[in-house]
Amino acid sequence: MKILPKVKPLLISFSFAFLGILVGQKLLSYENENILISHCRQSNLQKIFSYNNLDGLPYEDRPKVLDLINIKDYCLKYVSKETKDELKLLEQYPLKEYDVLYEVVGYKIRLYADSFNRLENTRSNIQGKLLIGLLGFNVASLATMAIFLKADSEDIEEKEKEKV
Amino acid sequence: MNINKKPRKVHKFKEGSKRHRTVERLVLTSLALTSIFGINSFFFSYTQNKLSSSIKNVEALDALQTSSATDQISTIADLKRNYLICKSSFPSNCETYFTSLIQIRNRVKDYQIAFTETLGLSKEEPLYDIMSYLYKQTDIVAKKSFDLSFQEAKEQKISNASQYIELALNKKYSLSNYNSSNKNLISSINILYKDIDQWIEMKNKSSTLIPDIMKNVNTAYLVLVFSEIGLFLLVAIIDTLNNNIITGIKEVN
Repeated sequence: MKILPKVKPLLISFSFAFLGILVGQKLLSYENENILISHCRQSNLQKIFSYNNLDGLPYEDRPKVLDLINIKDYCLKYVSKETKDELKLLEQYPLKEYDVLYEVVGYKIRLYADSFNRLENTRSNIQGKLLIGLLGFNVASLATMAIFLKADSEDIEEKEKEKV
Repeated sequence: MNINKKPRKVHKFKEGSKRHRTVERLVLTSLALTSIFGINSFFFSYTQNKLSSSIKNVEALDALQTSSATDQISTIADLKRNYLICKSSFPSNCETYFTSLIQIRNRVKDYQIAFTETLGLSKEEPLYDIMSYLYKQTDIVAKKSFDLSFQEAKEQKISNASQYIELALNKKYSLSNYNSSNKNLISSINILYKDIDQWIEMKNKSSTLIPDIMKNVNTAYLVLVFSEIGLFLLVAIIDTLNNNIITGIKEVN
């Protein structure tokens, strides 16, 4: 199929609009994951509160609460690779000793908190850039659409002249 | 001239009708895709809401699990410590023990409110009865040990622990009743926390897991994405076909 020169700007306009749609969909997918990441951060925050309250408990009972201070499996997906490497190193400590376990658990929840915060900040930056990109694609789409409309208008004008 | 014009008109008509048929089909397909998009967008919102409510539920249960473990340890530790202080000089040294009893009563009331209003516990469920039982148990300890129940203390307008103990000094207090009722109270507290743990476990098992809900959200999202892209491409093709048709006429002319 031959493509008329006037249709070319229209196709370019569609391409920009298509890119805009893709960016919009990426933003929507980000929003879904943000709900889960925020939940993981919130859940870890609760663990930090519980950890900080351990001091008020009798020493011999603290391991019972310490055992409950762990992260959900599905939250590990949002922990950075560097943090995972650090967590692996922590596993090598003698965790059967309460004092070591106490320090390790404290360090772990701080690592998780840092990792979630970093991830949220990065995602927030990317989302900002995607939003600007979305605006840019929309504007580019409208601009090329305007060029097409000009060509279309010239075509209509030509046809009317032919009729006359 | 006339001979040349006829086949051109037929050609133009055929081209036009073929294009029009294609456009009609494309429009029907795009309407079908719009319906899929519309229905799926409801499903997407539904799964998203379900995810949010499940997350709230999980967070509440999670917080409750750790706080109840901490509460159990601290409540029993406080009670045991204050029991010994009280026992050392019964009943004049029992202000802190009485304060512990008040704290237990307040905590049980807080649990009843939190469980019924936030976690959806029905007042007919056994866990609620156990909470009510523990609340009554504190009254039994007060009555048996100091011969003055909370209700009676309230009627006599007692506002703090020292006034209560002052009044109890003139009553028929009993150290043996104090020992036995305190033992019962501790076992009731342990039963309550054990039941709370079981209830949380049961709730965790019965509720849909977050990764499963997330899978549904992702599926709905993918359907939304593909239907939108499909719809966009169809409309773009229709528009291009409609604008590109002029070529035929021009060529004919």
